[in-house]
Amino acid sequence: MSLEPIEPRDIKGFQTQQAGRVRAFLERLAMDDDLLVRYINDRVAVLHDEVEDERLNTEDVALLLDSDYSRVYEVMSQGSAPQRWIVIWIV
Amino acid sequence: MSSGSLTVVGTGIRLGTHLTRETRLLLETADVVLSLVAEPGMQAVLERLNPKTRSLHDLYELGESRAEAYEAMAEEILRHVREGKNVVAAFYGHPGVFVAPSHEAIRMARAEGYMASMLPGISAEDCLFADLGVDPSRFGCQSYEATDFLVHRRRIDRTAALVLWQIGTVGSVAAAATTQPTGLPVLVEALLEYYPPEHEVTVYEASPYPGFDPLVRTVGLGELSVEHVTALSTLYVPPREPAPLDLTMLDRLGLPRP
Repeated sequence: MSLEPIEPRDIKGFQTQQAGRVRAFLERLAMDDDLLVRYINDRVAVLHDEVEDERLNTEDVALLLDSDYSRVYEVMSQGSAPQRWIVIWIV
Repeated sequence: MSSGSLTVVGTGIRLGTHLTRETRLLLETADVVLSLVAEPGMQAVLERLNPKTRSLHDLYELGESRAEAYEAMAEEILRHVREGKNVVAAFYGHPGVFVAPSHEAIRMARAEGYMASMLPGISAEDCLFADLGVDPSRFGCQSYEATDFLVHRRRIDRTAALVLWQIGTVGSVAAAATTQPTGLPVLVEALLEYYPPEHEVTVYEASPYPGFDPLVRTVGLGELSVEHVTALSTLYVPPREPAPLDLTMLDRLGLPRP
């Protein structure tokens, strides 16, 4: 078995696709009160359902179950081309 | 009163869930929403609430003065108000707390005869009180922007808590896409004039996503360094010592002595 190097454009494509899926989920979470209540009460069950319905995959779930939200932020920011997110307060 | 109006609102910190009902209704019904938020998902939510949402983010120029960007943002907001539109300007957190262009836009709008108002939102400091379990009424609380704290040599009351905002960009006035705490060693040095090196301080950042814990890093002040700090970090410094009771004042107020 040979391990081919991953092309940078493939990595970018993966990040963009993952950002799209995670963004769509977080948007629904922000807009859908019932989903939010279910998520607050049982995050794992909601994410399981999302995978079942093929809206998220296991890598997305691992990201969302990580204890560190900075990875989610990174994925969301990298997937939101072309603007760079300026992460400062507004003063 | 001229036609056209401005309402400034806050999106809170946590994606979608910190929007008040009043803010959400205003966002949905505005002629145009001009937004400045810190996270791409929040921008997407605003665009879903109102397709006529435009980001002010492009007015930042990396490496250039933030103050100039904020002037341009206030002017851009007013441009839409002058066109007779009911404009909602949405900023993350509380729109009146550590947000320069919101206050300026309201001042300009009122000066030109337009209706202008601000609705409160959930600020990073509100999240800090909740996540760190501290009540500002217990010891009192001083709150400064970190660079402002240094350049004005603000005096500290060591019997009260101290909150320093923007330690991730302390010493920098330029727009940046990464953490730039160039002045952090100077900040630590200034604080060491008031607190011993072992005094525990907390680097804090509220979680922008539901279901995630906040970032909380507690270290001795003397050990605080760049690796502890993120771009949106706030520093919480607990009081060093209790405030003494003024027994004469207790007597004057007719309050019982302990």
